[in-house]
Amino acid sequence: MLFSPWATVAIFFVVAVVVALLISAVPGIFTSKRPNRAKSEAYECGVPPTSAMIGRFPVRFYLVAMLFVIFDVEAASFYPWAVRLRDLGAFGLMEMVTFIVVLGVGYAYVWKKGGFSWR
Amino acid sequence: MDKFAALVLVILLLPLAGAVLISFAGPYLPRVAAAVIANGTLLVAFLMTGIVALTGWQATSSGQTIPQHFAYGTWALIPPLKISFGLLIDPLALTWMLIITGVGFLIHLYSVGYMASDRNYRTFFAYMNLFVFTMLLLVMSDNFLWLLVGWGGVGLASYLLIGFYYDRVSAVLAARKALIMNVIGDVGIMIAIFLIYAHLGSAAYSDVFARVASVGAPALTAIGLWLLLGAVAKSAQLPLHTWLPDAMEGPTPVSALIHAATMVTAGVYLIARCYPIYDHAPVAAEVVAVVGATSALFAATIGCVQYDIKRVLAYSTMSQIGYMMFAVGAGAYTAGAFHFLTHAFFKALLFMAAGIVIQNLGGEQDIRKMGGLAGKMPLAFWTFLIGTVAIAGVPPFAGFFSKDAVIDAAIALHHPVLGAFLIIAAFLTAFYMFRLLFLTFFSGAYRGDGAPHDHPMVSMNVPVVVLAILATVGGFLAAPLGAALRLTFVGALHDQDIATINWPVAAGAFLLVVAGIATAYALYQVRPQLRESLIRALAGPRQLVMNAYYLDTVYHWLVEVPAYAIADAAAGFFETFIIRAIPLAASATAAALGGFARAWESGQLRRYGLTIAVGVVLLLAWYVITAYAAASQGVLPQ
Amino acid sequence: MIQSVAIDWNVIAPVVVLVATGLLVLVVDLLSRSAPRQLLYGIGIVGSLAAFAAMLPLRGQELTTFGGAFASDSFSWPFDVLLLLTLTISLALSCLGKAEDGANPGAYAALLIFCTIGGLILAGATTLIGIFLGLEELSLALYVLAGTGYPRRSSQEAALKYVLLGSLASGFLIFGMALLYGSAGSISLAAMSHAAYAGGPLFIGGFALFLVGVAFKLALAPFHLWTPDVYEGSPLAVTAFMAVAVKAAMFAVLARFAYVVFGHDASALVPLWILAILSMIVGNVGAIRQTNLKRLLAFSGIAQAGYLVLALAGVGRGGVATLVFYLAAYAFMNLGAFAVIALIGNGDELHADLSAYRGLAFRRPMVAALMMLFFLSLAGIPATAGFIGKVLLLGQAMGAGPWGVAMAVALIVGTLVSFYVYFQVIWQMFAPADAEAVASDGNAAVSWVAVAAGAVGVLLLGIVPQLLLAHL
Repeated sequence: MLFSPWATVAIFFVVAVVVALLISAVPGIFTSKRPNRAKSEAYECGVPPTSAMIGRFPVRFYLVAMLFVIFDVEAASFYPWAVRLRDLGAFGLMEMVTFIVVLGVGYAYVWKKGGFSWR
Repeated sequence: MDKFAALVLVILLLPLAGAVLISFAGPYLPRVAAAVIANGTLLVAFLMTGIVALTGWQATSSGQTIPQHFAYGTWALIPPLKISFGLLIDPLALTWMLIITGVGFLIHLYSVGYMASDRNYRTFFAYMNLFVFTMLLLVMSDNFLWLLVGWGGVGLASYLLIGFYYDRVSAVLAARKALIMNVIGDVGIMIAIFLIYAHLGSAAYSDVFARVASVGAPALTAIGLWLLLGAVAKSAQLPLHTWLPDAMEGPTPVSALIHAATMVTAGVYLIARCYPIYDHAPVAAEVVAVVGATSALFAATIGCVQYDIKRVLAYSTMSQIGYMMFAVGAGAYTAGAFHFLTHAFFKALLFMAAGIVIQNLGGEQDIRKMGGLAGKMPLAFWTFLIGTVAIAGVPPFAGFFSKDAVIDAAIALHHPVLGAFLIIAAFLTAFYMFRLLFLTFFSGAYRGDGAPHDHPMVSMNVPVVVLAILATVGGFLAAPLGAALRLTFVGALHDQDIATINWPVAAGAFLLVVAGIATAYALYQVRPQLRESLIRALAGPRQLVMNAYYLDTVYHWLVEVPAYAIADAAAGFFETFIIRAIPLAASATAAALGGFARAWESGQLRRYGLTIAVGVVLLLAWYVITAYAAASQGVLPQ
Repeated sequence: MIQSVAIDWNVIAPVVVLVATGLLVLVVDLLSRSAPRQLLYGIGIVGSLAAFAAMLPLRGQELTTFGGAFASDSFSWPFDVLLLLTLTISLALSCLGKAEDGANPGAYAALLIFCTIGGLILAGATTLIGIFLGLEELSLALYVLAGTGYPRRSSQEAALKYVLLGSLASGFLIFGMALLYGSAGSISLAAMSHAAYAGGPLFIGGFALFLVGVAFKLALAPFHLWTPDVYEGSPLAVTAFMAVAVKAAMFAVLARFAYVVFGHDASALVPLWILAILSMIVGNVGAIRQTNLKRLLAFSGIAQAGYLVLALAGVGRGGVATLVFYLAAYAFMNLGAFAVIALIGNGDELHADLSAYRGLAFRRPMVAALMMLFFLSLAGIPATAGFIGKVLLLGQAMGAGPWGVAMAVALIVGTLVSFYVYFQVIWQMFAPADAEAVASDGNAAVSWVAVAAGAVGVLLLGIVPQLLLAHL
């Protein structure tokens, strides 16, 4: 039974755990530690930090990025549909109209609520 | 649902509707409306019960059979347990229903006057209607589970009503005591139901009683004894009787309805209802008979020395229920039911007449502070007299016939010792009841410091007079009751005919009764000096009896003290080290984890994520390990 | 050649109705300059009722559409009803004067509706893709809703925590689904059952990860840590929705998966039983020291999720009836309790604090009485729905081998601990206090409907359980 598929998994599992433990434990044992204040800083690698670690972006960037993703996905879903339009026929047309209507309402809502204005 | 089924359901639900209506609309209702609702629902319920009973009577006497069992559907189906809701309206149930609704209505009517000046007037009627509903459920149910619901319900209503004067500490304590004692009984019934279900596979009467013969006597004896535990608690029999005298803290109509006429007879009903079980479990039945006869004698002795008018009546209730218990235990079910019927009349009458006296004396209950009231309160006196001769067993009043039926059964069924108990108790009953009568209404002039006055109220006088008539002629119901109950107790092994009187026995018992009356007359009317010297001579035993044989004290040391000791120890150990330790440990752990997380600098979210990750790893590890273990044993396909 | 898929419009009618309602709410909000939010929520409630009407003819039918990918059967029907009920009550609670719904009531209502659509899809999904679609629709809308109490910091925190941890869980879920697909070669659950029979690392690993995703949404320990923070931070109506609707939808998925895939052998579900026992412990013990009622109900919800798992122990038809019954009881008592919290503060979040309940029985006796009813039901006192539900669960578990017995023991111990928790709240309501009652405005009537619905449900199911059991 040693060569059952489960043996592979079990070996993998054990190796993963052991390797992870070794990697985190071995440096702690073998490295020499001579810390000073600058080296203990987690950020900018031994140089005293000069600014906050995380810069602050205006939330508008995220908003635009998200809207982009939505319309990008929409466009992507047009390609396969367009390729097979003739085969799908009227049914396919109706499907896409429904899709665009739903999306359109959302688009109008975002527009009206000022989602596109860079205030 | 046919008309008949709807009718009996309405009988059951009317008092509930009254209770709900008064409870929820109470503050907005005028007082009189609450009284009208409570009385009206009961009167209608009584009339409808009467219609049902008469219809059944006519049909039976013309040779037809009419349905007794009404099914209303399944209440819960939790396979394999099926609980249906149905009512069983047979002559036994009808006997109780007629008393509950009929006497219940009279007592409600009486309460209109008696409670007139109480500020919680509406609440009182709501509770009383609730009681009637639960009591009806108890006797109408067609299976043990709904019986238990009613059983617990009457306990609750009794608790609420004993503690009705909740600003009196003694009333609250009495209510608590009654509840605890009753719950002991409820547990007994629950265990009995578990056993019934385990051995007979159903909780419906029809199934259980049909299958009784297929179960061995040991199991049936166990069931019978557990049922008896419930019965003695509810019916205030030895050894769980101590709550009943204390229950007299409740308003007098409550004592009349719950603690005399109806609820305390539930134990008798239960054993009569389960007659197939007791017929097949002679040991359990014998225990019932012993408990009943002993209680009858025991309570009668205590009744002889009490000075509180209601406590005397309470002990007499316990004693009379002892007669009923003996009867159903001996197998003479019809005699037990018959004594229940007449007892409901005369005991309710006695309580209500006593209530008139108490009210007219401004709440005085001590008979040492009464006396000479016969002329001042003629109605109370005459009705109390009728009640007294009825309970004492003077022919042709009701108690004579029913008590005689019980004593006849004792002789016919060969219970010489217990029969002797009952006959001595009959002597004592006559003695202590006439002692009560003399001390209250005669024995010289009025000894109290109040101003006795008669304050006639129609709503109180009418029910008293009606009950006085019933207590007078109730004994002649023997023949029709016996004929009707024969339909219920089909195949009962030892049931006795109650309509024929064993005249020699009756005459002997009557002579003892006369002797009892004569003793009371001698000691309390003619020779008070003799009484004094007797009291001095018997000071020791008298002290014992006056304190009800110190059973309360015994229970205190035997049950209460150890229970509190255990509870205190548990509170000291269990509460400190377990109940409080869990949240403390939890909070300490949470604090430790929180400190751990704070030290980790990034706040909690990362910890949440880590926990999820650890959970995933453990989950995968579980599957891998178990699957590998299974695979290496060749269980799983490769 | 592509075959055009036949669509049975009856089957998806409730979903279509809800989609149309959501869009209508958005359009009305757009077109009218100052539509009162009550109007928008009213439209939502009407739409929810219309969707219910569309479901009525589907009762008792076994229908599928989209080539079997979406079902409307006797299994999904009761879950759908619960979801619509929850939507209706959440919208009703949002009408209260001080209810938080962010700056955009239109978007708020529409998101609640879309959330419910996700739930309906989950209840009817018979393929992995359907499950994922429904789950994401539900989750994405909820992430936003959790943050609608916007100016309040805890609401922002809730939204952020929920979205980050939710994405993590979704990641596990979809990875698990990929493995499941790999093992079965199909996305349909029916095909999965063959793979389950064969066992194999791919399938088992996939199922483990799938289970993680589901357990996260169900708030089963140890995947529950987000629950108290998110419940506390979210606006009340949203919390009520999360507590009930998400649980109903996810249990629909889990139950369908368990019945279809593990119908022959439930031994692979053992870790689920362990999670349930853990949840009962963590939920009940964690609730002990809570002073915020929303947090307390969050921990209670964790424990209740554990209880609900018992219904799946011992795969059989009775299990679904038990599950639906307890879910219905859970829905009534939780929606009722949340409605009371909303009512006494007129929608104000501050009144979720336990101290606000001191002396409530004297200030507003009716509200306190109903709150007591809901907590008694949560504790499982007889004559309430919670009691019958626990009886059913115990019956289900006791017949399911040693793990079932272990869960039954955990349920009983957990219930004992929970008495302390629930009676503490009841005790608070009867403690003397001289606080002023918060005045409620005209909108409170709507919330009263929610409270009354909860109370009637709890009592009816508690006293006449056969009303529901007969139909399951």
